Amino acid sequence: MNQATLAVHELDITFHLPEGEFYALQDISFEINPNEVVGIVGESGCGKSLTAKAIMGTLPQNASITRGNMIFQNRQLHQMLDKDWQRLRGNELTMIFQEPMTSLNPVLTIGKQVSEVLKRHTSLSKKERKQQVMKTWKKVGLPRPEALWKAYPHQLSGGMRQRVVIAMAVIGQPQLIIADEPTTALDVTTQAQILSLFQSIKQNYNNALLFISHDWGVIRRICDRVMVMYAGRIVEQGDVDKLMNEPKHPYTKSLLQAIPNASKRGQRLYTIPGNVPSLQERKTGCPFYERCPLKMKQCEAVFPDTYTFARQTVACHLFAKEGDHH
Amino acid sequence: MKQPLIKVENLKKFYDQRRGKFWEQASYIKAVNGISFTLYEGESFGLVGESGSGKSTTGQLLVQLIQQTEGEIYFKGEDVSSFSAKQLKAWRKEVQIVFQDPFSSLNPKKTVQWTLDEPLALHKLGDKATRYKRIVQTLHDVGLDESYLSRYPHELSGGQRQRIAIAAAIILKPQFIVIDEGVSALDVSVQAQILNLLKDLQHQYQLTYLFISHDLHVVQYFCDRIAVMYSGEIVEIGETEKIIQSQQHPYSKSLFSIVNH
Repeated sequence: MNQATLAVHELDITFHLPEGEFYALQDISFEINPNEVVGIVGESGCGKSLTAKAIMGTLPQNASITRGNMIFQNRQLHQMLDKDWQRLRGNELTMIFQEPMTSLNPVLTIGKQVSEVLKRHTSLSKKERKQQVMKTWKKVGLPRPEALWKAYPHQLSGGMRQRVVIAMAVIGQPQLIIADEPTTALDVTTQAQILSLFQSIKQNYNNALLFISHDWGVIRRICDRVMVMYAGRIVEQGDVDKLMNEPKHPYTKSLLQAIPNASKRGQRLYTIPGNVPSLQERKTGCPFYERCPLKMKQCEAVFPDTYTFARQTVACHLFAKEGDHH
Repeated sequence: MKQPLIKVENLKKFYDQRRGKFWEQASYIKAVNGISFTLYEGESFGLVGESGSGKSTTGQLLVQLIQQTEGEIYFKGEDVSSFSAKQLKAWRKEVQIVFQDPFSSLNPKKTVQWTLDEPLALHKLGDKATRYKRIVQTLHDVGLDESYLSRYPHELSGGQRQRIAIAAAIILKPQFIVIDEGVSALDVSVQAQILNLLKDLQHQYQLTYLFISHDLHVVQYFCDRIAVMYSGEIVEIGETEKIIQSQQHPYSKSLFSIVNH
């Protein structure tokens, strides 16, 4: 059995607010293996991006890890010092954000920005760095490298900017890339191109990818496994096709039912009543209780255990009898 | 037989790209390059295509936020460009637009009540009491209530903000609304609520929609007819069913193959 690239174990994240302490993430456990793409889906405010921030060690000032651990390549992430982080971040562990314009410096040329990664993390000479950058650009499908070297971010289209950001993320040959909604700001055709780029990167670099999105179509295209998050908890996870064809958790089912498509034309779409509870509104029971179409008595008071079906796990009282308990 | 509401003939919008020296020949960006189509009363007409294909420009031309370089827009048979200033102001009540990001279309320093009162006051529709009644009624129509009147945009969720933007669009009881990526920034669950709301309002007010989106799933669900735009031109137009089943133009083929693979 290969060792996981990243193993997160029973992670709790707490926000320290003037009103008190609130759990933002609770009992998050998952693994990402080399060459695997794992997706996270859920509505806004469910903790998707916070999970990414926890892994990257960029939690906001008023949040902290109160339980659990994260092991990345045999290193305990939450015990690392700033100087270890600097070596790791941007090199072995990289992140891609939704809006490429905000992750690029508008007053530096593209060449300078991308080669800076190598300047920081390698001992390559200036000439070697340029060669390496151009080689990476070729791999991510950026044309005319000489012109691009001198270009500024505003001169590029959205798709090209995202390719530049991806080039920066892969140039250090990271073991894990975290991509937070990397295709949301792009139109369909560019989105499709960027998704196939991610697929070819995986083949080229053999890395693991954590892919955050609220778009199930994108998740289905790119991910091997997917985790569904709700109100700071992982409520269901499994292989992507299996999970989307046979969702078990009422929340997953509701989300999938709400997706519009051609066959639902003329019908009303299914909607989930209410909203995701805010940090302060979360209670001890199942967080989906208020909105759940299948709620039962015990759901209000007790958060359900996680039940396993083959490679799919679900945290819901409905499966108390059927699944393997753990 | 459905009546045509808006008829567009050979509509063009060019942006000047002249650089510096006056003797150099002017070059243009042809954002919209000669499109013609008809919107019928009560239909949802989808406009799809990649960024830069001219979808949003078309939407803005139809409500005259920008003026065309060439071509005509007929609203119920009347040429919009021949309107006097007074006629144009009256006509602006009939056409509205909703944008993708309600946070940037709502004034952050003004309450919901102010936002909804402004169009009514501007068009001098009734005294304060009747306007207030209409505001409350419109809030109910979009699934909100009086408690939202004193709120500011930052106090609302994304879905609620989009409901307010829709309320501001329907409060003048228009006949035609452009929805420019109006549900694209929302979560699936909220998106479903807003799409249902738009359908309800369409029945209630007999609205005609121009629905601009890059999300083909949403367009296929929502629209009766679809036009595919590519570099400023409409390359294909037809009923949703037909377009889904067989696209004629190579660009539409590649566009639809992405979603229906």
